[in-house]
Amino acid sequence: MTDMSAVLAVRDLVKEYPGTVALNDVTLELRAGEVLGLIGENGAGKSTLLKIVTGVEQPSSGEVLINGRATKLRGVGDANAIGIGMVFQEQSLIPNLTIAENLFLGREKALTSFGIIRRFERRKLAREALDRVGIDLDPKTVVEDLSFVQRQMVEIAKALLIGESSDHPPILLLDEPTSVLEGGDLERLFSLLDKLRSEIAVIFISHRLDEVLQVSDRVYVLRDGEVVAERAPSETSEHDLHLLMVGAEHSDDYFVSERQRTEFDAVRLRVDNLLVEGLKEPISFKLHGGEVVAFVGTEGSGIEGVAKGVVGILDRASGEIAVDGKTADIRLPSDSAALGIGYIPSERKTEGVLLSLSVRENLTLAYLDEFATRFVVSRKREKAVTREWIDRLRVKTPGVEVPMRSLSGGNQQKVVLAKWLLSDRLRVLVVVTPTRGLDVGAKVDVYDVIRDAAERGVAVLLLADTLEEAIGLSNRIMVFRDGRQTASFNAPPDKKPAPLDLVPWMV
Amino acid sequence: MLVLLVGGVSLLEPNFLNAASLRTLAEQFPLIFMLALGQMTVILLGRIDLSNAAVASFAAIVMAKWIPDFGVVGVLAVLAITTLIGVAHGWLHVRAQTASFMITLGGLGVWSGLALFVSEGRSFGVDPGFASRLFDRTFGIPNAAIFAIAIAAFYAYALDNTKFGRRLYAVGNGQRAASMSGVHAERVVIAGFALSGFFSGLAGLVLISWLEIASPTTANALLLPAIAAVILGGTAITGGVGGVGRTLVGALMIAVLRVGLDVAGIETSIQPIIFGILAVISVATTIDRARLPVIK
Repeated sequence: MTDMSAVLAVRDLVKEYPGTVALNDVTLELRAGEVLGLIGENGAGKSTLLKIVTGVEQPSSGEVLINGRATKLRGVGDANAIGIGMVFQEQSLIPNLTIAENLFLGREKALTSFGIIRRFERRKLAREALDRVGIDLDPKTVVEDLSFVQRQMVEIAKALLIGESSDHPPILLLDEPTSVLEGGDLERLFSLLDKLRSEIAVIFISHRLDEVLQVSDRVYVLRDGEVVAERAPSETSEHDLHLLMVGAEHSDDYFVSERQRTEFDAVRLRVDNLLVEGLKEPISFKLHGGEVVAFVGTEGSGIEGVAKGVVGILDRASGEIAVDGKTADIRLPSDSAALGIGYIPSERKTEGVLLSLSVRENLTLAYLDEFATRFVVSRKREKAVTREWIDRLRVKTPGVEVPMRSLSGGNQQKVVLAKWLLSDRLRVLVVVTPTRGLDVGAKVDVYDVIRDAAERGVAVLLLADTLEEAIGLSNRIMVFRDGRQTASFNAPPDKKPAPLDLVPWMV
Repeated sequence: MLVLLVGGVSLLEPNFLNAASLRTLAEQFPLIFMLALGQMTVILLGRIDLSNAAVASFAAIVMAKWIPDFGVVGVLAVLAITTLIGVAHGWLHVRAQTASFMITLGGLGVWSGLALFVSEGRSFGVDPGFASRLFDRTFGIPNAAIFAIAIAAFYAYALDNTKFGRRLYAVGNGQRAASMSGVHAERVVIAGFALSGFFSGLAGLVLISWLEIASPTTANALLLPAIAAVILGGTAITGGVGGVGRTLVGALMIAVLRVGLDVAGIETSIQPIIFGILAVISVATTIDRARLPVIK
């Protein structure tokens, strides 16, 4: 760190939303030539901070300084113009355009003569930009033909291009760039960051603490809208950061396996000869009350199809499903819901919650019958039950009538879970990647809720986000590869298989 | 905005706030309001019903033909038929997975054509005894207006407090999430179109009792004003947001505008132009409002 000047700084930043303070007096700085790690639980204020720095939101008070000058950012365009490039979780490249077209999208002006784009020059500049990030791709390639990590690299190249046109080192904001990368791809990203480190300044946001430690020069920890710590990776540890994030020591046992049941109730769900899109041969299985069964497999293994087939989202080519011993005719999710099969989809924002409706309306939607006498819904009952579940699952919300979108991801997920758990009619819970995108504290809360469900006799079919999660939570693991079941493992609390035991059956 | 409109019109034409034009207003309003309520139901689902004015015309003709022989039973039968027409539209839309504007645009052709066919292009007088009952006045207010308000009050309560109403809003807000929560979304959509058909039937009834005459095309011109009323009232074209109260305000605005334009002596041919522009502007502005920044 030769240059200690702050390229980007925020001072006394406050952001208030109706009912909540998202940022409370945040001051931090990003220096030239460093990678700054930014961590915190969902709802800690990371996204809000990013939105302010990119001009998407305006602070209630406080200021943003670029290269030492107080700057008002009115939008992403402003931010780009002064050299801030960003790579968001959701990719921003347009799939049906070429790499070159994407790289200069919106900034074609400098490449235009008499209203016509100088394609060759654009291609040449694109080539150079790609070389800088060290990927060997033809700029004429259409983006939809790229792999995920290639797109990520192109995004970074684009962000760097945006950052170059200024009098200070380009600022690169990386929001969860690694959440979908694995192994070698991850290494490529990190070595790229290392290579570029001296010329740029990076804010790196991730849920994976080990990565943050590996790649950052300094780490800021946010909690409840405040900066609670600033650490150098050499003087801290994952465990340490974790504690700072959640503010209290969690039990060592992440998956609360002391609450895992070892004896089960009768068979709740029986599936015979199920064949759906994605499976190459029919499968059969049973779930007992109180049992958690994890289905694991890589993409293309067919496990998503199993979950969707059971709840009636995907048509079944064959297969008989019985709940509590009674054959069930499931064609639509409304059929499975009526039979007591709850579904937690992986796409929370589009499939799990209705963002514009209130917490109450979201919570009572699945079992509206239980709040109604014939036709009329009792609002009083709804409110009482909503309050009860908000307390029980410690949902952080300003109230029961606020729109769902004002809750953080983890709290939204708790409402999605409560929507099913509130009914005694719940028999089976089909849970697909329930902790995707959640921070550590929210994850543990979700695990707790799943244990609660099992405790009262609900059978849980789990498609976990990670292998560790599948092993940690479940009583039994069914492993799939290429549309076929390849193995089955028991996972009692005292004798969990290791991830490496499972992997050979998956690939 | 409604107050402004009334104020503006009375400023331009001081005669506006006299008894005669207020009476015309009270007579115009129920018709637009009934069509707007039907339209609102499908718009809340994020769909649109381009056929509902044509269905009202059709209903008016068939009612006029049947009332002499069957009386009230004939009216009820026609209401049942228009409801089924709505079911058919909804079912086709859901089954064929075809955009609702396309299905109901086809419906517009079919039902306005059928109205012409059944009537052989002529207008029918309606048994005045029957008509007068609905268009009698209680304390000077046309019964049709009272009837419309009563139905609206009941409907407002139902949308707010019944399981169906809640599911309607859920599907309008996010059909995927609603159906993953166990809502039978397709059924809700079909029911929405059925209600649109039912309200079209009511509009037909209001029409014949007001004019005491049924012509095969009278209601057709009301498609745009009814849509404008819904959107102007503040129901989002994208679905999920809005309600009866807002539509009441919107329908009043449209009615005031129509009567105001008449009173001010503005040519009738200008009116569709105004409603067309109004509908587009109001959609454009509500879309903007729906894009409020995401709060996190």
